[in-house]
Amino acid sequence: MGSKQEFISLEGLRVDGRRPREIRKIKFELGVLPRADGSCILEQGMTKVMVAVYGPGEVRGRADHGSKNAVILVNYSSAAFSGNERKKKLRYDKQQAEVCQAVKATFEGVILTRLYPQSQIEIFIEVLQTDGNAVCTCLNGATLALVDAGIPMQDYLIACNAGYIDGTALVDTNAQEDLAGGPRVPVAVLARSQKICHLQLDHKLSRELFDEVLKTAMEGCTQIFNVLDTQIKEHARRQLESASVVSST
Amino acid sequence: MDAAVDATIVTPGELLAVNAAEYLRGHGTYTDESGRLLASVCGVVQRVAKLITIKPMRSRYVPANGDVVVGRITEVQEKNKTWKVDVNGRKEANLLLNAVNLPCGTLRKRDKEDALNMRRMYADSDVLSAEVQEVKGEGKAHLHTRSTKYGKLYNGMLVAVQASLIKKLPQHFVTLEIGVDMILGKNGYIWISITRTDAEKAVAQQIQDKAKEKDVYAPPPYQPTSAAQRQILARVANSIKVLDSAFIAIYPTTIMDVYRASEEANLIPPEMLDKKYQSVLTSTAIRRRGDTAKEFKKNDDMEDDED
Repeated sequence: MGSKQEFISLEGLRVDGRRPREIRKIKFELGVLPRADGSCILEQGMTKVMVAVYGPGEVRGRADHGSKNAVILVNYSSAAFSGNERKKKLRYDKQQAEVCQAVKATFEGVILTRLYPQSQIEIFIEVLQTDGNAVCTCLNGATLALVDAGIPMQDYLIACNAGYIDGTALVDTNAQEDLAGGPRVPVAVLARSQKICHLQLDHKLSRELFDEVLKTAMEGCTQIFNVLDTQIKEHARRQLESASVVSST
Repeated sequence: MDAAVDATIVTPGELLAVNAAEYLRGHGTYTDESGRLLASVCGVVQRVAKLITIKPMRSRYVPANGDVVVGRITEVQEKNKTWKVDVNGRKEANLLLNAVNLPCGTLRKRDKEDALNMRRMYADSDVLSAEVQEVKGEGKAHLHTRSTKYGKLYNGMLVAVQASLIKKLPQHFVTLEIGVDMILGKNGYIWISITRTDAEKAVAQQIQDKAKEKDVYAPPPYQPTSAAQRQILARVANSIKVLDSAFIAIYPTTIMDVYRASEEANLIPPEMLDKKYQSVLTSTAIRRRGDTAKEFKKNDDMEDDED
């Protein structure tokens, strides 16, 4: 094999030129699917996801009739062309089931479901391009689509991860850094209250290191929140001006 | 910021007031454990004295008494003597058998035979116009078609837009000067068809009356639409879609603005939907912004707060 991959250069730059605490570039567009109640395409670096939200609407499944809260259904799929190699569609994909469950459980605590008894909110997530940390981008994309749909939530749900390579905590890892095999902690928080809604750890990590990595990830969430909030407010201003609800000053 | 100022844009989780108890909580807000009032949607703050409401950018149609709507039948429930109607809301609306006019205008109690004939009146995926009679809890609307102007719609085209762009108008059944009839459903479903001349209408009525002698549920006859007429309909439909994607209020004046702009720009209907022409087509309609605010303020003051 070749020489050991250097993840932090002498100048302190990562493989893609970022600093350890720098998140990837964010680009998003709301309302991309006109028939959906809410939708978005979100890019974080080279990871790209598309999310559509339908609801609140009539409950389709018989079992969910008469529920006091809105039922949240999540469909997650990652396109065959999203990764480095073309993926075969498996009959039962464990990762798919895990992500669906994680998104559903997380948003059940964020969306104000008690406002819509006997209704359902359906979230469709499609990963178009994955360059690491797709789950966090999916959660952020779902937040954007829900905001676009006007579905009431407690707060923005912002997700970000942090890894630990070569003695440094790195925020928002990309695929190359993921392959290094170091520990990774994706976390999802309510942006303003900083309450943790989702947290994952699949590696062994000492207590002190975990604290440092978690702190780094949560700081990443704050950075992402600032970017998203500013752009969403600008988007809302333009739309509402158009509909003559606010004056254009 | 404490006590959000009217007309500011807020996002979910943003603080509106430190003490929620001092205010009346409207839609789009919620109280957290420490008693603060927070926004739950992204939208604009609307303050009226102590009432704080957030109007979101987008939401499904919220039915209100008296609204004229265009809907599509999703289910025929003969057992419950009800039709389920999709009106672009969070819940499907109900159209009870008791709320429709029986054919030939007879007045009698609905019996089992009427229930079995429901499908001959309105079948699955038929489009109809109706009025909201009542709104039961959680947004379930009850519709009625107790007027000759309401009922099944034929020989036309349905365009679906965001409900928030259609405000309460003096007239929801309008005729454009280019010869197009429109029903602007307050729920965001718009029905457009070619205006028929009185002679054509008389002939169609004659044919239908004759057919009704054999079958009371006979539909009006098919009326051919020429290619030129279909071009006009397509242009109107796309004008409406342009207004929808530009988030501009939809009413006859703005629809004609975009229609005329598309003719001046020499665009064929399919080209109109291209994003690059959006600013050209909407330039006149956007300038009317001040007018609509005044025009609709009159209507808003009259209607109840429907949220």
